[in-house]
Amino acid sequence: MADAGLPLTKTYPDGTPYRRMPEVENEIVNVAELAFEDFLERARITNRSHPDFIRPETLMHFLRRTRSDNNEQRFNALYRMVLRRLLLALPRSERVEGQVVIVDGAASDLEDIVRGRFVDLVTLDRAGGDRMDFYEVHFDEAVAKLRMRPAKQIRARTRRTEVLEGDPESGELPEYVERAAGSFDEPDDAFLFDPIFRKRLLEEIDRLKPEQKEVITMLLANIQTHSDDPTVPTISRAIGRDAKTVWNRRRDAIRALRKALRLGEDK
Amino acid sequence: MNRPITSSQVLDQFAAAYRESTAALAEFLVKYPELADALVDYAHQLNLQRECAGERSITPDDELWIEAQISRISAARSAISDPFAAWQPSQYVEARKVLEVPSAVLIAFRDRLVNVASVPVPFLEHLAELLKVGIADLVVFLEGSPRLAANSSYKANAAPGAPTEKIDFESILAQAGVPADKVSALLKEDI
Repeated sequence: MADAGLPLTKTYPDGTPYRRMPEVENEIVNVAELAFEDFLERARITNRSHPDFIRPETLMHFLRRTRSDNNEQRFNALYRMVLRRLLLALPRSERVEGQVVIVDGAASDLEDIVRGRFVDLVTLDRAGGDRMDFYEVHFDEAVAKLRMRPAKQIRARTRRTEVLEGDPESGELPEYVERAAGSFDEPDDAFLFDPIFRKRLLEEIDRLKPEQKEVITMLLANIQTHSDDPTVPTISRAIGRDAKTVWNRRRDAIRALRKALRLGEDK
Repeated sequence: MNRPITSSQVLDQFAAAYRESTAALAEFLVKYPELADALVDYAHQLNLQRECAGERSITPDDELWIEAQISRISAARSAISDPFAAWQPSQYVEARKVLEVPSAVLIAFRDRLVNVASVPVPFLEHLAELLKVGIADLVVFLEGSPRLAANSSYKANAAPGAPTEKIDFESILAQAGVPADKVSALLKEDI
């Protein structure tokens, strides 16, 4: 195997260079000692708690190092391992409910786009540059970033075709939906922080209107709705809207989420 | 060349900080209010990512997809085709309009003068679409050595040689007389 990691060249806005995690740097040094076949054997392990697990950041490092050795076989072998890690880093596009496997069409489309973009990026990165430096820093987070743009586009498209629409004039949901969601009262948002709902909740947040999604995501990060202290970060300041608008969006988002999570009757 | 800081770099720094604490969202919203939408979007994707970590395994379909990608890139590298070969003058005109660049820029791509690593992905995507090839095919072609166009004519006694050095996209745009504000727009990467 090749020797240990060269520094990354990309820099953060404050000028500090991108740096791999210390555990990745150590891993690069350690696995560099291995024969390539032994390295591949370990790279096949995908269970993160296995003692021989190799981090995706380390695999990305060695994949990118093949720029200089021009060895197709080595590239292909490493690429295979990296693509497996890409897939493992993507949220599943189907879920099982009882005996039924439900495929989320939008999530499946999103996954296809992300796979394609990753493949394009690797091809381009092989020609040089620092475009994929962050994949050696935090692989999963880099994959999450890749989802952003297509997720937005697909959700916008899906919203246009969703059957359960409110009144196109007022944007309000039909009354029976409001009642089912317990929405004529102040909606209870305790479920937002309940780990039981966490995964479904995040999936449903994805389906909210963009303005509701941003308010809920900030609430989950414990950002206050409003504050008189100008130094305190607030949702109101972040989105440039008054406290009442934020509250209305929060209320509407919580109603929609309660309904989606079937929490309608037990406000 | 010192490239300007991009929102992508801000988001990378945010992701690293968000790993440590979700309080990073508030901090970055204060520091980069112009990126509020992107930061909140990214925070949501990071939440999803964290929640879904380890829930998936590699299926036989996944393995098939992986092998298809290996075959695809190997095929692109073993049989490099010239996506410009069949391009007619009218297609250059069309590309100039769509990409909003002068002919000299397209010629630099055709003659593989451009350092492909310096070209932003959105521009490559548009060009590949116009050429009706995949990005991988276009990149593999552009990675080849610079060449002289087959139909170039010359008056000197000795035939001119192809340039040996590749040129960064930004320099090609500047040399082609693209205005600075347009250059900035063309250099914009995706987040």
